[in-house]
Amino acid sequence: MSTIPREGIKASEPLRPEPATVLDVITETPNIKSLRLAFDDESLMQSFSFLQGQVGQLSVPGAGEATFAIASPPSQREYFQFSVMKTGVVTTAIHELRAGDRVAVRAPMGNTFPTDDWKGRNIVVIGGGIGMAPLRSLFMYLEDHRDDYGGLQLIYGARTPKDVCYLDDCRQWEAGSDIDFVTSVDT
Amino acid sequence: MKFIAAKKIPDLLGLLARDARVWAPLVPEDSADTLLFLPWEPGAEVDLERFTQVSPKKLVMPGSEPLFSFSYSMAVDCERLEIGDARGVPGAGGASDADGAGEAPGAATVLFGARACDARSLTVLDALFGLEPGEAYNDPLYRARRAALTVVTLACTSCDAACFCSSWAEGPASTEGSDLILYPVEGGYLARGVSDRGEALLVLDIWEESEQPLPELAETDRVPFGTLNTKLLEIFSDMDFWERATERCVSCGYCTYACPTCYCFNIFDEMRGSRDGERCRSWDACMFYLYTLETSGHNPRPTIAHRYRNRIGHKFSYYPENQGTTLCTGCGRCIRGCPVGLDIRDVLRGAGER
Ligand SMILES: Cc1cc2nc3c(=O)[nH]c(=O)nc-3n(C[C@H](O)[C@H](O)[C@H](O)COP(=O)(O)OP(=O)(O)OC[C@H]3O[C@@H](n4cnc5c(N)ncnc54)[C@H](O)[C@@H]3O)c2cc1C
Ligand code: SF4
Ligand code: SF4
Repeated sequence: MSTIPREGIKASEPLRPEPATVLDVITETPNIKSLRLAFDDESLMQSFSFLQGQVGQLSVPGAGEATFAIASPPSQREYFQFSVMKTGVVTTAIHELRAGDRVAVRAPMGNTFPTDDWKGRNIVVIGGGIGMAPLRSLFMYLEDHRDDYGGLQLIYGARTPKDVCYLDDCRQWEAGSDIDFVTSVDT
Repeated sequence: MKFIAAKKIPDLLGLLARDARVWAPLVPEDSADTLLFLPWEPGAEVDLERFTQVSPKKLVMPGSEPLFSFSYSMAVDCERLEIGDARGVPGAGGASDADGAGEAPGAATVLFGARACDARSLTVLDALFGLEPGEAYNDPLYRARRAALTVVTLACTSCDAACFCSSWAEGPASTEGSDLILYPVEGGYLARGVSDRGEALLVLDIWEESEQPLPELAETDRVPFGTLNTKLLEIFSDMDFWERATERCVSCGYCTYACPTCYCFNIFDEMRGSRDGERCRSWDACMFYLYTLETSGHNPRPTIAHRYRNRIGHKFSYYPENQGTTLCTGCGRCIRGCPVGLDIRDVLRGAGER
């Protein structure tokens, strides 16, 4: 447990989220938006670190707090990203957010992938739909540490072509010569 | 040994209440059959015979409490997000005698008349929440309440058919979690300090000396745990067993709410007007369908059998594996209070024999 970073969370106040600002909103699919955020406290933002696959709690005060995977890689220091499917009270409020709006975040939490144990091996990452959120962070981490691993393959499925999340990333992965990228849609 | 006559118990409570809020087994106004840990006031008559229906865990984890207040507007040019302090929130853990409410974090509190199982359950929760910085999962509100709590335990010289604390080595003789223990004897109670905080109470000018020996303590039913923790993993997929075992359960959640060791909670916002609100948490229970309902509509624990299996698995397999102790102290409340008479011991014995 001690290896899991918790820098975004003040030890004295783990239940209290830290104010953060929405830097950018990306509409991924008809019901998924990605939000890029930064903590308002600059020193907190500088020390903020997490491991690929960890999650955070995003609050829209008044609507509540919900859990989302951190979809950006640990190497991204300018912002951290959540990709949110609209389903209920909190996620609907999140979908109404615009750049400049302020929210509150508790992160990082939860566990990571045992990426150290995978070193030297061929890695196949398989994901679908919004389940890609933590895998985007993972896959980008693997790309950041490309030399530590053998072949990198990403198999990504979605229900329909319009439900494919991270289209820009997909184009890059497709174009990348040392990545094997496979997409599939149900209909 | 220190001794106090039964008729002087109200005087002892009065002394304790000078520096702290005292919670003791009391009969609520409107319900003679009920016994709950409630704030004691002079004149209130404590019941040191019967068992309380709901555990005293609310004193370290209130049924519902605000975590902090906020003032928020989403629009860019409007008021900024401010996250306030829970301690300023009206009703922030402030004692009301509604069951489930406890004390504000850090307020000196005495739990009077806990049984050995109740006192020990606090140490079982400490294993999860930790008491010191850097330990376990830091829950500052739990820790503040825990540090301000003095536990005066009433040793059990009798028990009922639902009790099963003798399943653990020390049973009713356990001193874990207690600061002071009162032993019922002829005419009153012998008192033994367990911690420094308990010893300090023994200097109060109320105790007499007595030569009476410590009484024989109760001997309860025993559930043989043996290798139950691994057995429960083996029969995890044996849905036939779990369905039969839980045929009667109606998923009401009483067992988890009455339990001294269940600690699950949910977090939500309560608004006062359109801008100001409080982030709150309330007890939750794995016996509820919504507890694991995923947003997609999928529920990994769709039936009562799945949910009860989690309750048993968490208490007797996963928690022991992760925290080194069973998440149960044998208080028997879930057995006494279950509306359909489901007895957790039958399920545990049944699992052991599987
Ligand atoms: C570890 C983890 C990581 C996650 N990562 C992501 C992620 O990266 N991206 C993402 O989009 N999601 C993620 N989720 C899921 C996300 O947390 C949920 O979608 C979110 O909490 C929903 O919150 P809400 O307030 O919008 O929905 P709610 O309002 O709570 O509603 C959720 C669903 O329950 C139903 N519901 C609500 N209340 C009731 C009721 N009383 N009775 C019956 N039905 C009811 C609603 O109709 C809806 O279908 C993750 C979840 C976990 C646990
Ligand atoms: S109290 Fe009884 S009926 Fe209610 S959830 Fe527990 S076992 Fe089921
Ligand atoms: S998971 Fe169930 S049994 Fe375990 S603490 Fe929570 S409510 Fe109690």
